[in-house]
Amino acid sequence: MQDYNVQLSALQLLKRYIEDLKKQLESSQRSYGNKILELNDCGVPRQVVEEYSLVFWQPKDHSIMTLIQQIEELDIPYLQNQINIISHADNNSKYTKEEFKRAIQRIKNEMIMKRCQCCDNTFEVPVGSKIVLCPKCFKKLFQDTGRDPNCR
Amino acid sequence: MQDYQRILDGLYGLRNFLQQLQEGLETQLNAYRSHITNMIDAGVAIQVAEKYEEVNFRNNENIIRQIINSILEDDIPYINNQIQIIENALKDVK
Repeated sequence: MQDYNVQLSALQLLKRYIEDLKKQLESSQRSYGNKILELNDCGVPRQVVEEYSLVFWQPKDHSIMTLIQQIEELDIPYLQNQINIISHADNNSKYTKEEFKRAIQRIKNEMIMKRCQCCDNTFEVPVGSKIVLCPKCFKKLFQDTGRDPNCR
Repeated sequence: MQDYQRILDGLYGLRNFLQQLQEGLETQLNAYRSHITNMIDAGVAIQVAEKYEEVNFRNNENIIRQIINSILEDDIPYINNQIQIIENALKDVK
């Protein structure tokens, strides 16, 4: 259970980091575009602005866009999926008191009474069980012989 | 002369922005890598962590690296060249 929590928190941190990275890239992309517009406003020769935009800005703008898309379409869904899987496993590993009672009840419903072949006392075993000795006799015989007395 | 100064301010602004962007991306890349290491250390199933590192992280890292290299090797030298041209023109006017 502890392991699941550590894994879950590492995946959640990575996902949160990736989401923040995406936001920062979007903001940088906007600022970069604005800087190009500012060049025009500052009176930088049109030819220089166009050349810079075409040769330098556009390929980078495209790369940033690709990165944002990859994060959005691949990274975040992948990490979210792993988080869901681990969360589910974590929930399954927790036995609540109620679940524990229900599980015991379920087992009890499938138990029958048997008579011990050694001491003749009755004891509970699961339906279809091949056990023929009560726990007390089993323990005693096991200690005496060092072998499983139920195995004939 | 004022016109040249405005052009220079615009070019300095773009250069500063790109330098900050490049430094920011380097920092992000390091943080990204340390999150991947944390994920592996946390015991996330090896095939999950490896797949993320080998496919997702590598693809993202390559793009970030390309942007950083392009800023350092293409943009900054080009802008520096334009700055030099305008600074020379400004000197001539003075």
